[in-house]
Amino acid sequence: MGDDRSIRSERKLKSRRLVNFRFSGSSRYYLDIFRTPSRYFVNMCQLSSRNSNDMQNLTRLSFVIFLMSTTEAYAYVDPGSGSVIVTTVLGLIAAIGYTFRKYFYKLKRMISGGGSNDEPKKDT
Amino acid sequence: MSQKKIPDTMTEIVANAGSFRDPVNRVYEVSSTDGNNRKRILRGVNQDALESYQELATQSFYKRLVEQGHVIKTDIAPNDDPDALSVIEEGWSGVLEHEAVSFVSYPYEWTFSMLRDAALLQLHIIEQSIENGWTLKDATPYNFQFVGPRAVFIDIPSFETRVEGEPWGGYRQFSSMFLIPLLLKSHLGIDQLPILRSYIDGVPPTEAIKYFKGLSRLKKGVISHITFPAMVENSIAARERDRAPAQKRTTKGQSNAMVLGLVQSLSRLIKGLKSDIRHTDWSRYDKTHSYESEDFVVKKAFVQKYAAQSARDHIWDIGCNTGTFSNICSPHCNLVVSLDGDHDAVEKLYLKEKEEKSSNILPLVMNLSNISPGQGWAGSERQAFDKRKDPDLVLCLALIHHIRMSANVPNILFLKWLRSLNSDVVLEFVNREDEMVVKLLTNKKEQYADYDIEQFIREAELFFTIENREPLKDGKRELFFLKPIEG
Repeated sequence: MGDDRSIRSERKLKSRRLVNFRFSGSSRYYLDIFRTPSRYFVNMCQLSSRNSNDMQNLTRLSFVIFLMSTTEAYAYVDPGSGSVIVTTVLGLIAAIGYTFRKYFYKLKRMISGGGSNDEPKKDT
Repeated sequence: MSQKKIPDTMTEIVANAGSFRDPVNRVYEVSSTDGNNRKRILRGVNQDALESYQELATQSFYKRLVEQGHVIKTDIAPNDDPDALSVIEEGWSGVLEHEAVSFVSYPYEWTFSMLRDAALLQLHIIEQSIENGWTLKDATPYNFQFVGPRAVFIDIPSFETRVEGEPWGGYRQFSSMFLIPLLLKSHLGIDQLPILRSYIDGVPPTEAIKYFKGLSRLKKGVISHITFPAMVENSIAARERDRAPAQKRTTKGQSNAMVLGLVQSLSRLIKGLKSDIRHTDWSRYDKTHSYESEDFVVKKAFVQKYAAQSARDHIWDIGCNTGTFSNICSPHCNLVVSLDGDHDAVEKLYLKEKEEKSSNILPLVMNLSNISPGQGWAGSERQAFDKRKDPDLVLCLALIHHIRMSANVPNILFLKWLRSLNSDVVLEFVNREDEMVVKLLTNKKEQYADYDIEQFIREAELFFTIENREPLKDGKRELFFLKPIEG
């Protein structure tokens, strides 16, 4: 029974770790990393004590300790610098609509022969 | 220079405690110490900022923004101006003079629509700037002030020429300080004011995402401006936490169409955000107050008499509801600051006043038992509400029973605070027999035995001279006109 439990724990860990690696940028899984390190730690300690020669488990244990020890070390990281990435992606999408609207109103003016009255009024 | 006195001219020049974040300039307040209320706002600027302003002042888009009242009127102070010379002595290359804003307010005191209007104006200014080869280096609501109910942009050195391909550097700040609080209120009904008061630099997307659960993550603007930026920021934090040096991110390659497209899409998003006015205790005060029309006329006449008694600069209407008495005071002073803790009542007043072209009413949301404190750097970057400027008259009509029985503040402490404002006071005392006090006390164990008019008068006379009294509602209420005792 004890062995079954440890195998299940290990499988669960494998699947979770895979998810964390693959989606480390997603807020949901990012939060998962920090919500669950204590559980990882307990599981890993159990695994390690049962099979102390298992180097793979020790590596995992080090990984978990590493996660636990660095949770709030943000002092030198500026996540806000990522707004360049954000504005690039959102800007590219927005530029399509902007260009389309610009030419649409230009065309509309040419057809109607009017001034700039067709442009939507800016509400400030 | 934190404070400088020039004895000959009787002026005092003080560096603004909240103006230090941008190293290219600093704001100085010049006030007369001879009793003259006139205040000048000077801004010391370095050589680059001075040259930038000189170029900006020739731009037609900028002149138009100033003419429309969207940007504060500004001039370069003359070389022989003694106040400007004092500022230059502090090491600045030039001095700009701005039209003074008579009362400073902060985003955590603005209603939803006030923040929304400031956000739309910010987007309008950035759009106009980019179309004309300029940009704004930041995008914070602290760069706006309300003159009456109209938002005005005040941070002139924020304008700078745009380098082709440069991204909009203010996007994240705009998102954290304008957009996210508006989305929280509009999509989730979460009061944005305590959040803005706590997060003085805005709510980062990584925090904002925690408020959105389940289907609310699919609401308009959430994926683009909260979920996606939070993913990017978390990813950077996870990747760079233990890596030195941090990865350099390129800041070039964004066309005008990309930046303008983003600004316009934000503008459309914000125009679509709404916060409905609920029927709260005070939002329909103009229709639900407990007065017979005759008493109400007497009350209005009493307020009008003392508002018009002398030339008054500022009148505060504390506990203003939807502003019935603020409107009575409005013609008799330069500015009425109308305060109430009920967001929706103040929102209603703002929406009405912003339609009046020459309105001089500044509506603010303020819980009087917990007024805005001094906060930010050294506790003085943002001033406490009652330390900004003393009023000339304070109205506190049918407020004192709430202060005593809802906020549990003894009358004597309230009167002492009122006295600290150095102002005349029109106060309405609501007696225990009044149906509103009866309602307040119905389910309370504590019955506030100290709350009666005789004790109130004894305590008021410690701080004020009672100049006039007027009973209302057959003696259930009484109006007082109080003058502060000197010394």
